[in-house]
Formats: sequence, C-alpha cells, structure tokens
Amino acid sequence: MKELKGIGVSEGIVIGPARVFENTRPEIEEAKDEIPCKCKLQVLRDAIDRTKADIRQTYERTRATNPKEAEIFEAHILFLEDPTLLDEIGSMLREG
Amino acid sequence: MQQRDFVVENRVGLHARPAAVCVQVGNKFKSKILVRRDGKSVSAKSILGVLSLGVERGMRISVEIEGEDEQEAMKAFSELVANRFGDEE
Repeated sequence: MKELKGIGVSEGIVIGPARVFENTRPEIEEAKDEIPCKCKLQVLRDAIDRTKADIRQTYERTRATNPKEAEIFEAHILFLEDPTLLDEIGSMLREG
Repeated sequence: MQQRDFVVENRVGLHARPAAVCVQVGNKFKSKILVRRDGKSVSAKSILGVLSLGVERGMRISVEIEGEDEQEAMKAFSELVANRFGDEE
C-alpha cells in the first residue's frame, strides 16, 4: 500500500476511491465573439453595474445581522470600481 | 505637493478591509494621491494598487498628494493612519 503525506484540511478519516490530482493549466484559445470592440466597454459597464447591485443587496442583507462582517462587501464593490483595472481594460479594448 | 512618511501600525497590515477604507478616503479628494513603498508607487484610489504594495505591520509608507485639496487630503490620511485604517484590533 502506498502512503501519501500531506497537510490535513479537515480532521477525521475517510475511506473511498482515490482520485489523481493533476495540476495542469487549461489551454485557452483566442476568445472570439460577435460583439464589436467598441460596444464591449458598454457590455462590461452593464455587467459591472449588475454585479454591484447584486453585491449591494448582499451587503444590506448581511448588515442587518452582522454589520462588521458586512463591511468586506464595500471592498468587493471597490474592486469593481478600481480605476487601475478599468483603465487597463479600456486601453486593451481600444487597441482591439 | 504634500509628502509625508508613515509607519503602518495595523496588526494585519493593509489587507482588504483597511485598503478599502484607504480608497474610500482617497476618493473623497480631487487631488492625485500616491502611496509608495520600496520604490513601488500606486494610486491610493485603487484598491488593487494599495493591496499590491503588500504593506505589513511596521512597514513604512510614503504618501504624496498633489492637487487643489492636498492639505485637507493629507490631514485625512494622517488621521487614517493614526486610526489604523479603522481596524479595531
């Protein structure tokens, strides 16, 4: 029997079929879609707005019971508004 | 231009929550606000930027502010660092 050593995540003993873990990077081919480049920024903005509205709802819901824990959702919203990321995406889109 | 050095005293450094507070304060001002550590400088209005500095407790950061409200902005930043970016521990 082969014995493997590693770092335990959860306590306890589990018996079952073994799985082989492989750490391979997925091959990504050039992503293509029908949306023209000049419209993509708008598509992105709409997606960001929808995501922000979603996070705000979660924020409000969590705040009612856990106001301190809810604050992390403010950080999530700031990631979506991050000028470094948006400028980078904007200039990549302009270059096509 | 205003420039000041600070030592970050937060127990956990500038992780997501204090970085968010930093960006929220930065966004209140029109001035350009740069945070520098070890030669790398980022905008205080970018949470990705602030997190990428990897500021841990006891590290020295330099804040550079330039613009019409630079004095008020520097005052706000001094208070922010003194209040440990709103971290309670």
